[in-house]
Amino acid sequence: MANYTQVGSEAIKPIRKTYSYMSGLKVKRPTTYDECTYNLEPKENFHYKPIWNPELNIFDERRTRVKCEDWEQFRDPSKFYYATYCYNRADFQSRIKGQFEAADRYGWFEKMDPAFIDTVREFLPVLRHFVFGESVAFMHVGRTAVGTAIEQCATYQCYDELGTAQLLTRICLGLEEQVPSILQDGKQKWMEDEKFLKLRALTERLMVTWDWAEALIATNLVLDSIVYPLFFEEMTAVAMENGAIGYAAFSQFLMEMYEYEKSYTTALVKMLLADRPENKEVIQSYIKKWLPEVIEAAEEMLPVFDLPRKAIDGKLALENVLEKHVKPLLIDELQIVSSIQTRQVWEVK
Amino acid sequence: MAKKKRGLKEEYNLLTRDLDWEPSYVPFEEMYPYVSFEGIKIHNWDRWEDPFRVTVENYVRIQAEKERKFHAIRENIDMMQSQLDLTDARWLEAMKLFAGVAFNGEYNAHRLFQYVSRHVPIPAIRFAAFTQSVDELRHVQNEVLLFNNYNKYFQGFHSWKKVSHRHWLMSVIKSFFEDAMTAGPFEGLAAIAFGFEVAFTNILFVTMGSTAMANNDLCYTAVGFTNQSDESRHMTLGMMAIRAMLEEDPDNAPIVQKWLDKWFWRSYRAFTAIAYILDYVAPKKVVSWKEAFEMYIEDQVLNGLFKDLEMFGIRKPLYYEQAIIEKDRISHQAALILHRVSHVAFFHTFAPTAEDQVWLEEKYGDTWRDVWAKKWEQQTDPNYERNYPGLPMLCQTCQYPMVFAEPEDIHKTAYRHSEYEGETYHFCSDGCKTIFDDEPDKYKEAWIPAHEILSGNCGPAEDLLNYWGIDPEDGGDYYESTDYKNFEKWKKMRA
Repeated sequence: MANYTQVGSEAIKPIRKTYSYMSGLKVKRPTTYDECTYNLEPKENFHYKPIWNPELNIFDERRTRVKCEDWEQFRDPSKFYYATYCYNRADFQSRIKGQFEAADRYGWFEKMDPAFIDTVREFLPVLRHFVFGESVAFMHVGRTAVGTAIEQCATYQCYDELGTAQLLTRICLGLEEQVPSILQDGKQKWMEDEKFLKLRALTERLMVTWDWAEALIATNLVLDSIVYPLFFEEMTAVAMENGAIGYAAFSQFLMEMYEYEKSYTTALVKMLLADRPENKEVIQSYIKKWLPEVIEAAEEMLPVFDLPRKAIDGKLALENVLEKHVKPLLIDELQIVSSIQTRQVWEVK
Repeated sequence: MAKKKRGLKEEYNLLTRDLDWEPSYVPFEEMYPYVSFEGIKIHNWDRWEDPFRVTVENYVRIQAEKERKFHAIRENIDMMQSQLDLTDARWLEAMKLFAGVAFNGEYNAHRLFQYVSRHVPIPAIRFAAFTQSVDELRHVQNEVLLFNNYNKYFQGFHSWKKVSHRHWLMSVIKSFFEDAMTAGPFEGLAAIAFGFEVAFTNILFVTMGSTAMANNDLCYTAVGFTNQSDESRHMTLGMMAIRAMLEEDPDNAPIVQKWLDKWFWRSYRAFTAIAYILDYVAPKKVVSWKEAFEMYIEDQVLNGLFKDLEMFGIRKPLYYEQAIIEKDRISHQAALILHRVSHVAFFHTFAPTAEDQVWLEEKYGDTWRDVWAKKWEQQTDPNYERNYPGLPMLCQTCQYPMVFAEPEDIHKTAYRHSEYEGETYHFCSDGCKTIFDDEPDKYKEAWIPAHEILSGNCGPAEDLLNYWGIDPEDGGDYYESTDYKNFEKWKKMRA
């Protein structure tokens, strides 16, 4: 678009293109995303100490163990700023709405195989609490993460998680005719059922993980990289075997949410590893702490795979998740760990 | 979807507060470590409801629609060179102040509401607060993008980041938001959602908005309209938060009263800049500060909102009478001091023109004739040294220059002070002194620009303008500036 108007022979030309501090961003030509993301976070001359944490400043790099020379250089691979985030998610919600309309029209919920309904009622309403817990953790990640670009991703993820908790609730509401107490039962299972206690314990611990990078990496590279594919890829394949299209039709939305988290977290971890070698050890320590526990929590939940009419071995499902998602991410792409096994010791490179 | 017949309210409940649970692996005090130290008692966390019933689904749909319109307008403003439609580029001196104040203010509000949503475990407030956090990110991003249209053609916008964190005058608003961000979660909520949003943003968006419109400022008008559409949610959150605190326990009332006293005064002082904009900067003036104050602060806030809170034992905020007395003073006091510091400002100042003076006399009558017109006469005397030597002394609390008069004597500058730990601290008013005396350990830490410069924390003195992010052409008198000359030239070119 022309930035000047030709009037007669003279042109009214801008005296500058953008704000002067944009020169600090190492990109060839700043985009709209860059212009409204770069360098918004305050860094200096703070007036008061937080009464709730007086040892640290209002914004402070010491709220995580990882370190970085210039946090503001981070770029979200999806380049979401508020407007494009809303456009994307409004479209996403329209697609979800379309699926609900199709579910209504074709009776996807009514005609779902009773054994598969019994499977879904066992875990899906439980997961809405899990995702909600993650959103609470991400309110803290958003507040304390360093650099506008990073906290912006965490903010959108937090809102996405609230949306996911609401989506899972609405899918359950779709099954209410068959299982009137699906949500109440789900909450009770979340609180009391042994299959989920480990997951709830981890979720609650995540909510008080005050090192924001640990919370972010534990959620996006560990918890979600196992829980999401386990239920929305492996279980989705089982759903298709059992003709439960009403379940399968919504899985892609959950996986898309996971893909967003994974993509920006992968970019962030790569930036941190490249920035300084000490970060590797810190990130490994996060993974070392969370991965065995999350695998164990996943193992506890595997009995749900026995419930469908055409069931599969839950252990195989988890193995698939590790092979298809966790290992390619942590071992091959990020080279953070050297091997991953179930209920066994793994080695850290 | 849902086959079971249930009310919207019940369904909304399932989509929001029913998601929460009582933790058992982590003690409540560890999960919500900051929930009790402020002394606010909440008995029923679940009782409160978001009247807007916002869900993620309806939020992203509505906001995407608003964003499409906004960005179409933004691109159009750029393409059509709408800056040349302004009544006079002098209006942009207001927008430079707005940029220095608002961009960082919105951004800090974004981060503050992340904290509030994490640490206030009232589900309705949590969800509304997080949604507000996302809105505030929207506001700062849209403002930064939109005002680049002005930045491309005019001085004073190019280094807003440095300006808002380093410039001596911007300490006013920086300290205001940082005060809220360093408070506990309930005070942070009361400060911004109630003290700022409910009590004052009508002036910011409605009064300033209509003045911007009268001056053909499409940028501020676009931002004002679209932000205002989110503010109604924010104001509702502010009201809900205050009522929740007051209704849950009578012991909360004195704590809330103290916050309302403090944040009314703090917001009121911060709004001095708006008084200056309405009465002086606007080439075409619409409403005076005095009129806006009467309409929004006296009628709506003091005699409306605070009346509604009387049943909880809440009285009007401390020193509100002084704010009323000051309504025909502060715009002039601000204009007079700013006129003297344009050599250390990132915007241009000017003495009121003959046309401005006619309007000011009409709006301020006797006080204009008896006091302010005379001061301007003195200040614009060719023998008078216009530039203020050094920096004016700033109030330790609000950080405005100490230019406000004694409530009972318009001719006498008010000075207050407190001794604390062997040091003397200075204040512009009883309101600011009281705030300090209540939390001296907090306010003694303020980053007071003059002290920091003297302590060598802002680089060498001869390089101060650069430290502040100021180009030589940013300051000085508007009518001698390149902004003015370019504007006149470009207008002719376009005509």
